[in-house]
Amino acid sequence: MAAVELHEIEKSFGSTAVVKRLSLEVKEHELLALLGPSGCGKTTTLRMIAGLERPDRGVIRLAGRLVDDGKEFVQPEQRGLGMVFQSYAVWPHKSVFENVAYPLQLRREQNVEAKVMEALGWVRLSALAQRRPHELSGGQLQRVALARALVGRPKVLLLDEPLSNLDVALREELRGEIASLRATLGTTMVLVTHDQGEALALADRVAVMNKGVIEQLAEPDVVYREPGTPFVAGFVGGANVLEGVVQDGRFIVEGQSFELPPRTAVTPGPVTVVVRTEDVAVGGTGPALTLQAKLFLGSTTEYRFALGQQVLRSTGPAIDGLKPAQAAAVSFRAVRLFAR
Amino acid sequence: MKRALVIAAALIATVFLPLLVLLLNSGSPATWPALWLAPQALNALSGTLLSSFGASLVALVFGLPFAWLVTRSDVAGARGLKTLVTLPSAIPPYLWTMGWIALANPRSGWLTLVIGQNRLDVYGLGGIAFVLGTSALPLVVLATSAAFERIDSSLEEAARLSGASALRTFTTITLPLITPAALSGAALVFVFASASFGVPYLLGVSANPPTPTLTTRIYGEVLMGEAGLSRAAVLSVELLVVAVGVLLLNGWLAKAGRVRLPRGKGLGQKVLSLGRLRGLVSTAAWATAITIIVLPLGAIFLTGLQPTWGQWGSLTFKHWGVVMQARTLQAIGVSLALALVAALLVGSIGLMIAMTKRRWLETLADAPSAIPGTVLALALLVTFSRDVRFVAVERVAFVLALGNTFWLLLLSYVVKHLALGVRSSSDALSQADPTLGEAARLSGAGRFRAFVDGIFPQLRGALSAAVLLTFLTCVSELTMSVLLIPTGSDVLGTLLFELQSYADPGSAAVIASALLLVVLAALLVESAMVRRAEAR
Ligand SMILES: Nc1ncnc2c1ncn2[C@@H]1O[C@H](COP(=O)(O)OP(=O)(O)OP(=O)(O)O)[C@@H](O)[C@H]1O
Ligand SMILES: [Mg+2]
Repeated sequence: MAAVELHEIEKSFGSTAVVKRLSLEVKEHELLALLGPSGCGKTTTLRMIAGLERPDRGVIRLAGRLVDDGKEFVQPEQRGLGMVFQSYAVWPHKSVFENVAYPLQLRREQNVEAKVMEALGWVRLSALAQRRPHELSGGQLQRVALARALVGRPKVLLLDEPLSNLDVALREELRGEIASLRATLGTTMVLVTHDQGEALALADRVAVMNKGVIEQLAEPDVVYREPGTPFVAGFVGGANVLEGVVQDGRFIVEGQSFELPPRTAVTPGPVTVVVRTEDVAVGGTGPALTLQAKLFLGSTTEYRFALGQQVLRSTGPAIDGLKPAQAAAVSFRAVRLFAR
Repeated sequence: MKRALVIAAALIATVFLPLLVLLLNSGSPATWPALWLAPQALNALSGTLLSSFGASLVALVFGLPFAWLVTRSDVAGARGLKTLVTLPSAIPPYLWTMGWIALANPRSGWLTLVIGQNRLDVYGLGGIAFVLGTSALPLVVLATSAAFERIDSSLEEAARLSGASALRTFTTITLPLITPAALSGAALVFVFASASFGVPYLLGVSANPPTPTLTTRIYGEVLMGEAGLSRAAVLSVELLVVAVGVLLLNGWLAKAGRVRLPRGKGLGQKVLSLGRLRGLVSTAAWATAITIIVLPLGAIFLTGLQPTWGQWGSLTFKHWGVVMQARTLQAIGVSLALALVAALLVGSIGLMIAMTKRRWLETLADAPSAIPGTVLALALLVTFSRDVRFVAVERVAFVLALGNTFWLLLLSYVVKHLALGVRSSSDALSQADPTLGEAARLSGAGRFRAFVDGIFPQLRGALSAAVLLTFLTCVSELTMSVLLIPTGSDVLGTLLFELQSYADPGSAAVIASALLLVVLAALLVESAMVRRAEAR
């Protein structure tokens, strides 16, 4: 039985459709990432699962239990969920301890103190139990929010961009903590993020969203290696996405003609070609393009070539003597072709 | 620095020295307990405390729901409702009193006639608290709606996800978060109410039994002449202690209970849908607002059009001739002139003080606004009623004869409202872009010219709002005027007060109507000004 089940969910704000006929199943004990660009409807989807937003159409079930079908509606507090908000949402008038104790007190549980201290232990905040929120850093606040969401042992934990307000180092650290918490507690998690690195690193499966629909739902390595759509390729892999036509076995874009690598399944006509940056070779036999910029990225160097109005990016080892404004031959080692 | 010292010296001479003189006139700390605990003083003190506490309660009971409705719910016409419930502050409290007397005096009020005689009585402690509370409604509404607006919805949603119902979330999360703001709003109402004179006089003195307060007792003592003056001084010190005490307590509470709402990006504010109750709640909210705000004002207009006071009948403009009587015209002229000069002085002195950028001077200039008007006026009266003789540069002697002149009145208006000018100028200055002035300097302008061309245009909006507000409060000022008005003269406030309490409530209603029209028109002008400033 799926821990979370969305069936043909639709949601509009005013006249703009934000979520369109979206169906999704989150398996038990799984961490599913909802990945997509800003404004694609990730938060809205998550909030509908939580019951903070009502879908216009569709059915939502939690562990088989109907929680929203347009008529029946289970209030958010009765869904047995935990949620971590992007803004932390730690109550400023309560201490760390009181924040984490709140869900237990509402349920009149026994041994509140022990349970709270255990939850604070999970996020390594035991020493700060008596602090007030304004005495905490952003990372510590987010840990409080995590402990508060987990202290009641929810079946499903919803996380809305939990790391996006933190700086890079903290983000890495908390990312590791979420992973290890999941390993110890086995909680099902739905993680909303626009950071592909975060999604690929943490998730068992990634649902890539664009404009209110899921474009691909698969394991991280599949999403990365075999993107199902040009959008997924561009968003997740950072690949070049070029729209052109196939003619006589060659790919024509912006007036330049590229040879397609051998064994590419070729269908003549308008196509979208996806080329990963590491598959763009500099030197060799392709058309000569002008180098616009050269970016040193540490282990590799990125070259940006002008391709008409578009930019073609190539990453690889530094090439001696190639400077901006010079031209160089560019060719493709491997491509994915999508008919348009 | 020199200018700062001169201003400080002037403030000390006109406010703090007179307060000292008042203090010296009120006996010594050793005799205070006996004087304060005298039955009459105690009676007045308890009247002040009870009516002020009641007013705070009334303002909270009405203000909190209104603030929540207009900020966090989908109540119908939220903007209009907010405008309506923040209106009362702009209208002098004694006008509300006149409205309520017309509505709910036990014999012939408009409401009394509907409900039946002797069921409603606006006179007495309850009436005083109610009228003061509703006329100070904006203090609570503005403070708490600002707090409601600062609560990120995710704080409440986190509570729902933790298992709290909507009601539980409101009582355990929302309410505690706005409590500091509500308390501070209530404290301001308390201070406002304890300093108020017109309301307790009109509703307390002729109540049965009479309900004295500190301000009305002070007035009564002053009317007795020299002998009453020292008793009035004692009561003034009591009043000052009450007002300043509550303000200090509030400042301390605010610091102790301060809740810092965390930073971070969230969804912001989500408006709660009232659902099926929307129609009912909206109707109730509007009906309440209309009853406590529109009705009393309407009653004033209607009273001015009644043929005989206290009787139904065909409406007539025959009383409106009173506006054209010499005495009325003179009072209007004096009030307009005094208010205009006071407002301009408040604006320019306030700007001068803010430009010195000295915190201590700003604090010094802010302080008089916390002193109840009655106390300030009495201090000036006690100090300057006799001529003050200065001997400067050896033999040249100046005689400062302020007693019984309009100068003293003007002085009291200016120092009492100076805080408005200082605060708005210093806020505007801190937001102004200094590079515009610097650019003018580099283009060849002198210091003064650079200020006029580069900085002043950025302050104009805030400054004219402060000037307008000062003008509006001064044009209808009563509390200080009643003590400081030269014998035989009137300002609008004192004229209205006299007509209403002794002579001719019908004529009072007519003048009040005219005053109301002016205030409402000025408010329209101000909101247009604000809108234009915001558009820029
Ligand atoms: N309450 C609302 N009223 C109107 N429009 C809304 C509301 N909530 C969200 N939207 C709109 O719906 C769209 C999707 O919003 P959503 O918050 O789900 O996006 P998101 O994928 O979470 O984006 P982000 O990464 O920026 O958080 C956006 O265009 C947003 O402006
Ligand atoms: Mg979002």
